[in-house]
Amino acid sequence: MRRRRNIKLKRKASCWHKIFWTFCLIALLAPLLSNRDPLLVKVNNQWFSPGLNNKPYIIIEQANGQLLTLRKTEIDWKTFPADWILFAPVTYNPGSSDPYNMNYRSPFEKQFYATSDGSIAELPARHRHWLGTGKTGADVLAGLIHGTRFSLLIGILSILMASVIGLFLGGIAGYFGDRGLSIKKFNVLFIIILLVPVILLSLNFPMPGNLPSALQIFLRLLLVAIQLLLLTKLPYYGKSSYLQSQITIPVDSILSRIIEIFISLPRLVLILTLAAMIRPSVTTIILVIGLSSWTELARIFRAELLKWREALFTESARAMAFPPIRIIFFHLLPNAIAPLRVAIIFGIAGAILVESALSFLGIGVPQDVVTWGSLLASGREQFSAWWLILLPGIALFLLLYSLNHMGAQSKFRKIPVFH
Amino acid sequence: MQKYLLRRVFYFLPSLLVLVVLSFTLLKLAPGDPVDRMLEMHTGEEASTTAQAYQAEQKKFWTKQLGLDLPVFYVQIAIHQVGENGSWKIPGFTFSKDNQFHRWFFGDGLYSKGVVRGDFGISYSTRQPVNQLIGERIKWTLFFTFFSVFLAYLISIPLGLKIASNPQSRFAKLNLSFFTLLFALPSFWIATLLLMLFANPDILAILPPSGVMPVNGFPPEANYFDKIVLMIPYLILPTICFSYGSIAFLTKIMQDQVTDELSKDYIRTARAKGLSERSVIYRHAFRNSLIPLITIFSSVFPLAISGSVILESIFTIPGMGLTIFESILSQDYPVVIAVFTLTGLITLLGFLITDIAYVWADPRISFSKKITV
Repeated sequence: MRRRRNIKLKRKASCWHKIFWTFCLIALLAPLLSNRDPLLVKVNNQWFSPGLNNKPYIIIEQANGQLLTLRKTEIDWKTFPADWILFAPVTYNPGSSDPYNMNYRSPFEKQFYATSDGSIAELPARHRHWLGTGKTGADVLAGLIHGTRFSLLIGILSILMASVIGLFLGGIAGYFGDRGLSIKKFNVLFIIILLVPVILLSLNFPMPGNLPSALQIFLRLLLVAIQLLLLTKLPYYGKSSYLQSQITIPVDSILSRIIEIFISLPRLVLILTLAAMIRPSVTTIILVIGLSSWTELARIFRAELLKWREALFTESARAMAFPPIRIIFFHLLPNAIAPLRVAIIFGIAGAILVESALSFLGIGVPQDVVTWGSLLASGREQFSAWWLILLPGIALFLLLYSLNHMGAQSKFRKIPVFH
Repeated sequence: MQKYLLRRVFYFLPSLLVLVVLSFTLLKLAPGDPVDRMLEMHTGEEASTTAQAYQAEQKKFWTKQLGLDLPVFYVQIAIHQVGENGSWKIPGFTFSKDNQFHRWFFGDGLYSKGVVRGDFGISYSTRQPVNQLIGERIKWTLFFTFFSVFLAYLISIPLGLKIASNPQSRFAKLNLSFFTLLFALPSFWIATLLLMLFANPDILAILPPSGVMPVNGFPPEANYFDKIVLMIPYLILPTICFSYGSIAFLTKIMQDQVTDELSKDYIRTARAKGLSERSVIYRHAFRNSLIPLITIFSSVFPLAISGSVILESIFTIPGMGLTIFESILSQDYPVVIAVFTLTGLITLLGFLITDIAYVWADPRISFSKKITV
């Protein structure tokens, strides 16, 4: 199986592609683009990069040889007496309050700060809140930049998870169909009689109580794995022809039913219910969105496999006694990439929409994380703060529209297939 | 046809079962003890020791009465401890007919009538029976869902037809790009923007910002017609937000369908016969492109229902969405589970109706073709 690299289609990246990749770049570089702490500082001929590391303080060696320890959170960098200082383009962290620009300061209003002698002066352009502030004086542009990161992280990771589940299940169902996967009756008996108790037993195996719980779980799983390995290598295969005969498992019908059930569950309500019960965290959201959106990918991959599983190249791969997993993922998957890509792109758009809706409602997303949805929700408390309502929405719309556009475009993109 | 219907209804049952079991599992997974929440025990300093003992007694009593000490499900995996001081643990299965799921689903004949008869228990926060609470509120969700879907079909079918019949015109091009844009707009943003523009004293205050009817109630002399007229300004913005996504989606689908049909052979034949363009489009292409719109109903319908959570909480419409939002915030789990179950049920029924309507509209479709995903 050789990769086809020799043919390259001439593609002109449309303006929506560029917008999407810009968002990705912003998400990757978020700590460099918006950071309260400067990226580089030179004090007394020493260089520091407080914005790029997680140390909570910086230690400066003074001219008289003494060491001066400063907490990063207590330093006001706007008035910090440095020899040379390099700020991030936006000199604020998302969600951090600014006591001199509280109560929804518009982008066009005058903004203030406290100078080193304590008097209040107008902010220099370097430190201006270019897109205004929220109720506590939090910078909107910083929130937008870090919100990009959050949205894309959740969108991409949850769809990654969904595609792992979907491709695996859809692959098995599509490749084997209703008659392809058969299993010896002996193995079924073996699973029911031996495997279930063995797993249960090893999960309840007495353990010394003073072990940390993570290690315990690991040890138990290890036990299960070892016993599974031992049991599957069991030499006995029975003499009776009844146990040797095979039963077919209709994997295809089973998966179709499961998908039907999953589709009919109200997705957003399920996510809301789960998110309300489990402690809000980024992992929870990714898990919940990922677990509820694998069906589309499984459906598409299954349908594509139905098209290709009787093809000559599949048959020759089968004749070479390749294992099914290899045929599915190395021979058939490359042929199904085009429709899968469309589904993945639309899936990311959907996940981002769900995430922003959740953070707009304030359910399931940690309170201290600033997202586009939470910015929008804070704008709902004060309708005169148009910048809080307009800007996150525009960002969300641009990202969703560029994703939709990319998905719709790659529908028509011709991908050459050689067998 | 009848065989199809029977099989379709038969396939509806496992989905329903999974939905019910899932709701029950969620109810059991919910943090907090239900008896505690119902008695609202005060274990603080103000409660004396005798009162605490009394409350503990009460809790024990009610746990037993409500059957919360019973096994959770029909089948249970139990661990038997064997040997001296129970060092060996052997798994086993126990079956029990009288269990929590059974009581929850079919009722215990004493305190609850069971989910099967529509009894979801008592709300923790309002102390009202859940089914009564939902009965009051489901009408708004149903109204907005059906009205917006109806409106979407009403607008998008002629519009899609118009666009597809003359795709080169400026009207068609303008509309297509407009609807593609519209489809990507998140509804909660549009809702907030509309509120900012039309219900904001700084810009325009022509529409009320929240609710579905005047806060002080209707004037006593108002008759039915007057009430509807008074409610219209409250319904304008929610209806726009509920329906614009479906309108954009359906118009695009309709346009694709008609374009697809127009390129088929029988249309060429019809044109060659000398039929007028109007007759070709309205009598031939239009009818055949309607069928897929029925299937689309099954994807528009759940969308409208789950969309209601956000929109109802923005516009403060007292529907199911706002109910679930409020009860999630106040950790009122019986209500959450009830809304989840009912929403799932409505979605499932929508699927069922869609599939039946699909076969009714197009008799060529056989069960095996449709049911395989």
